[in-house]
Amino acid sequence: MEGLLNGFAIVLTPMNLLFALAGVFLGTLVGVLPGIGPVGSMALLLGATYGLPPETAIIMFAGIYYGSMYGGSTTSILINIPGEASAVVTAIDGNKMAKRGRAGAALSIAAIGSFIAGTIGIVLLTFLAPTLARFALRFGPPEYFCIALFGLVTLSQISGQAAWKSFIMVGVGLLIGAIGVDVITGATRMTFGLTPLQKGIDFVPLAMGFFGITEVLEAVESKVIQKADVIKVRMRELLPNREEARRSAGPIARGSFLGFFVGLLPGPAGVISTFISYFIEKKLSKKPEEFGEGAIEGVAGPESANNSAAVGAFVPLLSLGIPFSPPTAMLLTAMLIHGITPGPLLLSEHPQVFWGLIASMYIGNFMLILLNLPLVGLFVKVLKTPVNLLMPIITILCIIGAYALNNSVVDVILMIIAGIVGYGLKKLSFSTAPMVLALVIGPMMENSLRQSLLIAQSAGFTIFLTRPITRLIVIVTLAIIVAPPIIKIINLRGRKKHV
Amino acid sequence: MSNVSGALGKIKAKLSKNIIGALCIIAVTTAYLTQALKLSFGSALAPGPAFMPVIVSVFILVLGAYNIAKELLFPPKEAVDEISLWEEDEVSPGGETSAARVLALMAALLAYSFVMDKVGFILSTTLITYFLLRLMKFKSWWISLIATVIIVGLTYFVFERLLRIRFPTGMWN
Repeated sequence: MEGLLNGFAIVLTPMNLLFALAGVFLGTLVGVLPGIGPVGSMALLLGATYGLPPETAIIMFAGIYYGSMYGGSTTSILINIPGEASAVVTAIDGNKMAKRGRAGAALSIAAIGSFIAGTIGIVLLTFLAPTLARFALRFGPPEYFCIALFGLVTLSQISGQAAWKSFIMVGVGLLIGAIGVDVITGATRMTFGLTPLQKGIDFVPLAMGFFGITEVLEAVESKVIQKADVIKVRMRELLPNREEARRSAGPIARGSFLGFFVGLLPGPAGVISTFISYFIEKKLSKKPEEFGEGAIEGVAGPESANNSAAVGAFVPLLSLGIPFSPPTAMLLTAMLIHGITPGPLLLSEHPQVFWGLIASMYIGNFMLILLNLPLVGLFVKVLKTPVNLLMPIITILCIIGAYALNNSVVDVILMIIAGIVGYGLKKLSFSTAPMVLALVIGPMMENSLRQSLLIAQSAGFTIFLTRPITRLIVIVTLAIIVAPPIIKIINLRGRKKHV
Repeated sequence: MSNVSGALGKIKAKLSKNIIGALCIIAVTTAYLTQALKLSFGSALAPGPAFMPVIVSVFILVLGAYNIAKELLFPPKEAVDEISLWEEDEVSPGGETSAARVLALMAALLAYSFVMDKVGFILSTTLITYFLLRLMKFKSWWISLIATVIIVGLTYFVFERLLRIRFPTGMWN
C-alpha cells in the first residue's frame, strides 16, 4: 500500500500528469483513427522521449496503450468501422443501437464499462503483479525458457490463423532475433556480410513497418472510404436509461474479470476477450434474439473485457519481463531504452517506475472517462480527415520515428523492407504479429535455453523435467499442442458415427 | 503449346496463398540455414551459436514442406475462413485495387530510404510526400504541393527544432 501511495506521489506532479494526459489522449486518437495503432504510435514517439525521466515516458506509453482501447469503440458505434480490432464485436450491437437513436447510451455504457473494468483490472494488477514478481525471484533460466516457449506455443494456437502458419511465423521471428553478435560466444551470426546487421535487428523499425507502412500500402491499394457517414450524438442523449443501466451491470462485472484473466495469456487477448464476453452474454441473456439487433449487453461486456485485458497484459510484463502482445512488447522496448529492465527485480530496483506506472493507470483511467464522453464530437471530426491526406502523414511520421531511434537511415531501410514484406505476408494471409512477438522474446528465450543446458551439464534437456515449475509448464505446453488435433479427431469420429 | 498452357494453368490453380507463402519462407530459411551451418552447432550439453538457429530453421523447413505436400496432395474442398485477430486497424476495403500503385509506392519508398542520406531529409521527404499525395489522388496538384510544404515544414520544425532530432542534410551540408 505504501508503494502505491508513493506511486501516486510520483504521478501527481504536473509533468507526469501532463504526460499521462497526453498518453491517454493520443491513445484515444489512434484508437479512433485507422492506419496507425498503439504500437505504431508508441514506436513513433520512442525517439522523442529520450530526454524524459523513465517513469514519465513509461506513464505516457502505457496511457497510449490502454487509451486506444477506449477510442476503438467510438467509431464502431457511430460509423460501424472499428478503429481497433478489439472493437470489432462492439460494432455488431453498438452500431445497431446508434441507428435506433441510442448512440449516446451505447457510447456512455462503453465508456463507463471501460472505466469500471479498467479500474477493476488495475486493482487486480496492484495485488497480483508484486506477488508474481516476488514468486518469480525463484525462477532461473530453465523457468524463463519454459515460460517463453509456453507463450509462443499458446499464441500460435490462438492467433486466429492456422496453427502451422503461426508456428512458422514464430520460427521466422526467432531466426530474425538471432541475427547479430551472439552474446554468449561473441560470434557474428547470419549478417550476410552486412555490417549494420551486426548489432542485430531492432524490434521497433520492424514493428513500425509491419503496423504502419503495411497499412499505408493497403490503403494505397484499396479504394478506402473517404467520408464516413457519422451518426450525430447530442450531449443530452449521452445518459443511458434505467433499463439500459440495469442490463449493463452484469456484463460489465463479468467482462471486467474475464478480460483481466484472458489478458494474462499470450496472444491477442484484447480481441479474444471481446469474443468470449459476447458469447457468454448471449448465452446468459434472457433475450438472446436481441443480440445482433442492438443489445446493450453486446456493448457493455466486450468493451469492459478489452479494457481489462489491456491491464491484465501488464502482469507478465511487469513481474516476469515477458511481453505477450505487440503493444506490451513495445512497452518493454521503451523500458529497456530508458535503462529499465522489467521483471522480478523491477519492484526492488525501480519502485518509482513500477508503482508510478500502476498509480498512473488509476489516474489515466479517470482521465479517459472525463475525456471520452465530452470529446466524442472532436474524435469524430478527426475521423473525417481524408484517408488520402492521413496516410502520407503516417508514412512521414513512421520514417521520422524509425530514423530518430538511432539517427540512422539503416533503421528507415529496415522499416520500409519490413512494411513491404508485411504487406506481402498479409496478402498471403500470414499474420506478422506472432513473428514480431517471437523477435522480442527470442533472444531471451535462446539465452535461457543455452544457459539451462550449460547448467544441466550431463542432464541435457531433462533439466526441464526435473524442476517442478518447468515440469508443470512443459506438461501444459504439450497439452496445448496435442489437444486441438485430438479434439478434431474425436469430433470427426463422432460425425462419422452419426452419418 | 496448349498442353503447356494447360499444365501451367493447373499448377497456378494448385498454388494457393498458403503454398506460395510457405515456398517464400522456405527459400529465405534455406538461405539463412546455409549461413547458420557455417557456425559452430555445439551439442545439447554445450550449445554453440548455431544451435537454436539450426533447430528453428529445420523446424520451419519441415513444417513448411509438410503443409505444402498436404495442400498439394489433399487440397481443401473449400476455402477455410481464418479470422485475423491481430490487425491493429480495420480499413474498409471497397472496390478496385491497383497493384501498380502499390508497386510504385514500394519502389518510391525504397528509393527514398537509400537516397535520404545523400539528398538530405528536406528535399527527399518533400518529394516522397508530394508523390504519396498524388498517388492517393489528394485533390489537385497545387493543393497537394501546399499540403506537402505544410507537412514537411511542420514535421521539420517539431522534430528537428523542438525535439532536436538531427536529420541528414546530405549534399546541402
